[in-house]
Amino acid sequence: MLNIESLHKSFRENVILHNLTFTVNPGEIIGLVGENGAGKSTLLHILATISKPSEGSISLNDLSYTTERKKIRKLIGYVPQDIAVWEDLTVEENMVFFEKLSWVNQTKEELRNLCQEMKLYKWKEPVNTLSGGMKRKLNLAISLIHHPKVLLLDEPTVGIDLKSRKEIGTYLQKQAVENELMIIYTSHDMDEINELCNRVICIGKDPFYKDMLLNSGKEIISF
Amino acid sequence: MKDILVTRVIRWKKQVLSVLFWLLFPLIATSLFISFTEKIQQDTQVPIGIVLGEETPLALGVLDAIEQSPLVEVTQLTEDEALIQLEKHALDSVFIIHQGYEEQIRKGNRTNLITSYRSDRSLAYSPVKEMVVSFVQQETIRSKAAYVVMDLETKYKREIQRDWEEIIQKSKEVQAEQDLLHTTFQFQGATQPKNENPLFTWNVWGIWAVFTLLSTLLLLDWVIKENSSNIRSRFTFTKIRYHHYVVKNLLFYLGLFIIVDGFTLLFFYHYFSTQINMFVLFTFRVMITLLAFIIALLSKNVYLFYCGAFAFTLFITVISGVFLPVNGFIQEITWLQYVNPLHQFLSEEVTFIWLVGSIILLCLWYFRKEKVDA
Ligand SMILES: Nc1ncnc2c1ncn2[C@@H]1O[C@H](COP(=O)(O)OP(=O)(O)OP(=O)(O)O)[C@@H](O)[C@H]1O
Ligand SMILES: [Mg+2]
Repeated sequence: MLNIESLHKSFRENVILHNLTFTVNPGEIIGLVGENGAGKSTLLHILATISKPSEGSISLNDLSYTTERKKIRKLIGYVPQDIAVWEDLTVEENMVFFEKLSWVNQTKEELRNLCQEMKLYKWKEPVNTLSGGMKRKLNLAISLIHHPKVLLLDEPTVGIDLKSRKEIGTYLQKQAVENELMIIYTSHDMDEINELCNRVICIGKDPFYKDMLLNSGKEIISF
Repeated sequence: MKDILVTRVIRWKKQVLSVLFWLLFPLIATSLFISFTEKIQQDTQVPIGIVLGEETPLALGVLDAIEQSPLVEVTQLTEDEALIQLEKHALDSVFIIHQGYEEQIRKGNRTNLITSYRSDRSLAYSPVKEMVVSFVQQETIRSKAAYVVMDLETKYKREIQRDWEEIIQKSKEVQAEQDLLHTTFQFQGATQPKNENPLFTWNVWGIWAVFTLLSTLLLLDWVIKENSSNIRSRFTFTKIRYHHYVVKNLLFYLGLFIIVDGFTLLFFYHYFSTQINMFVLFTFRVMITLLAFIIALLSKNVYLFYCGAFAFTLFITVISGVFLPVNGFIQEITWLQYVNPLHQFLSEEVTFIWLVGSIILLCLWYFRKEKVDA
């Protein structure tokens, strides 16, 4: 269980996140929406231990973010907004590269299965010859090598075709159910949000996203 | 450590050629440079013909002295042949040492000892003639001196009286010891090879050091590329922290460098008969690797780094004086020696100051990262 309480974040005078309190349960997919600059990436960075909150407390399975960062990191899968893979390496080499750096050892077979589960069948091809959708899938697969319990995705489906989008969505839903994963992800695509998420968090000053979701029947938390 | 090595091997596989090229670049470039300049030196030697009318020690002495000069390429042949070659312009000029040369010298006669021929295209006739004449003059004076010594010995009734040959021999030995008239251009750190007498002597390891500076900088461009890459964000979720990863990779590079340096050591010893103290080489290698690493850490942009690497190498080349003789002006400016990381290596000393400096800088960077990451 991921517990966020009275979270504040500001850069100098600029308040980005103000008094966020919510809980994420295992197996749940939470959508995070808001206009550009609302602070979605900022929140994910904090939850991923990449940056620290100005105020407030966060805990994951009773591990405190302030005192047990190292343990928490092992439980977190973070999928960066910008694709972070070696463009000149093949899919296989990318997977092996990050497996070697990972806490969890996996065989090549296991790594390959991980890719195939999200329908990334290319294996020996260099990344720079892959389509945008496949790169996004690899970007996600690498973040899953160490079997995280929390998966944080920053616009994982931006700029890719509908088929790849669906494939990634299906994969995430399956993971949430089968492995009791807690998933938080950001997107600007409301259809996708409607389809995948159990609950939605709206942040930012613009009420646009909140209004759009009012009729969806989803539980909306807004700050 | 093994895991990190696997990741580095994966990266190396993509750049086998360029990594190999830059690793071997100092060795290859130095060898080519030395061979090339030696070839040029040989090609610019003036071909002259010498005709010996007699084979007395003095006549052979002149021949030998002329052959020793790096400026000329001497062919010994008969008078007829020599003149034919001269007409064909295969020889620049011809010098004939007449029969009775030694006898005339002993008599103190200094005229008509040698006849010279030249053609309308004898470009180098004058300097070569001057050289030959100076040899002959030297021998004449030596002979005269020998007679004076003999006279004195008779006059003062020394017990063992030496003959002319002995005195001549002794005087040559003394001259060789004193080596008063020896001039060759000397490059910073160059040592004179024993048996040859070339116009230029290169400091093979000095030239290597300059090429090594460049290649080490260029080989460490991965530091900037990986620093600025999106990949870096992934290191929050790996078992190894980013600066540990970078330092371990640096150690792999250092290992590669040292292997190649060992090979270079053998190669230079075999082909150029140059030796170097292994510890001097080792400290230089560690220092230059750390220095290049620190420069790479401070760089943000790979292309600026490349330009900087070339500019820096050029600057060091100039102040080091391995390609240009700098005895005159650089050695006067002592502070330049301290800003030159190559200086101690070029003087065949253990690289100490810059090594300690680099290690301190590296530690500062490392422990600051350690703090930020904690
Ligand atoms: N390191 C920082 N220093 C100062 N301000 C920052 C920093 N990082 C983010 N900000 C500011 O915080 C605000 C939120 O940025 P953030 O990237 O979280 O927005 P976002 O919701 O992810 O937007 P987008 O939809 O464009 O991805 C922006 O106004 C940004 O300028
Ligand atoms: Mg963002």
